[in-house]
Amino acid sequence: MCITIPRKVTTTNPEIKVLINGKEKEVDFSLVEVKEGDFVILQNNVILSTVPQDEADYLLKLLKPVKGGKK
Amino acid sequence: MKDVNEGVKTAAMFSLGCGNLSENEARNKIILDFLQQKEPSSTRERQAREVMESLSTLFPYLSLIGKYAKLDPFHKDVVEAYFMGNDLIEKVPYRELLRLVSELVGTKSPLVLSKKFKATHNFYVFCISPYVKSRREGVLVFMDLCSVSLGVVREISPSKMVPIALVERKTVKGEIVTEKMIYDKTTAGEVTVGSQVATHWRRVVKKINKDEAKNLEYYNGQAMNCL
Repeated sequence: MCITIPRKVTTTNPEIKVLINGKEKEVDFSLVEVKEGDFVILQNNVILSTVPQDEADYLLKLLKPVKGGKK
Repeated sequence: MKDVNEGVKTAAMFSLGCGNLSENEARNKIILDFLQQKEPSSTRERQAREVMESLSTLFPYLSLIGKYAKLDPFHKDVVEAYFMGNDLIEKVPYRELLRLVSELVGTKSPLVLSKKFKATHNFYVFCISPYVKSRREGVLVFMDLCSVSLGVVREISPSKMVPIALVERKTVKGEIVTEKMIYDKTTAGEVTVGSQVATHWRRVVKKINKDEAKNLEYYNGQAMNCL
C-alpha cells in the first residue's frame, strides 16, 4: 500500500525547504507551487502535491505508531 | 520466462513512485537501477523482485491472482490485472479476496465488502486503505495520488530539471484536470503527445494500449463506486 508521510514547508526563500526527520531539506518544486507552512507530499525530493491541513493531520496521526510510515 | 520478465518490469514501473518505496532510498534505488539498466541483468531483476515481494499489499495480491490464474505472481497478465484490471480478476473467488483483505487490514471481525469488490489496486485504495476514513469520507489527496489513473499526454517538456509531461486525467472526484507529472523516459519508456498512459503518484508509469486503457477505465469506474 502506498503510504507516505506529509512534510511541512519551513521556508520558501530563496529555496524551498521541508522538514524531514527534524532536519530541513531542499526540495524540487517543479510540479506545484507552495508557500511556507503548507503540508506537502514528496517523492524522491520532488513535491508532488500540497495537502489540506485536516488530511495531513489525519494521516500523521494514523502513521504515528508505525515509524517511517512502513506497514 | 519472457512474460515473467515483462511482469517484473511492469510491477517495478508501477511501484517506483509508490510512497513507502520512495521513503526508503535503498529499496527505491534497486527498483530504479533495474528499470534503467541498459542490458538485462538477472541479478538486478531478482533484487527488484525481492523488493516487491516485501511490499505488504502488492505481493499478497499478485500471489492470490496468480494462484487462481495458475500463473507466476509476476506474470505480465497477473501484474496487469492488479494494477489495471483484466479478465484474470474475475477468476479470484470473492471469499478468498475477503480473507486476504481481512488479513491485510488485521481485523478479527468479518469485513463487510460489496460483492462487486475486485482484486485490483484501486479497489483497495478506494474501499479499504487507511486513506478511507469511512465509506463516505476519504483522505482525497492521498487517495488520488495512490490510485492508478488513465491519462492522455498533452505536452512533454524534457528540458526541465525534473522531466515533465502535461497529462489530462480524471481525479477521484471525477474532475478532468491537466497537471504536470514526472515523466522519466528512462523508466517509463517512450511516450508522445496523444499517448494514453497509466499514472501513479503523479508519475507517468507507462504507455498503455487500447485494451489496457479500456480495462483501466472500466475497473476504475467500478472501484470509484466504493467512494
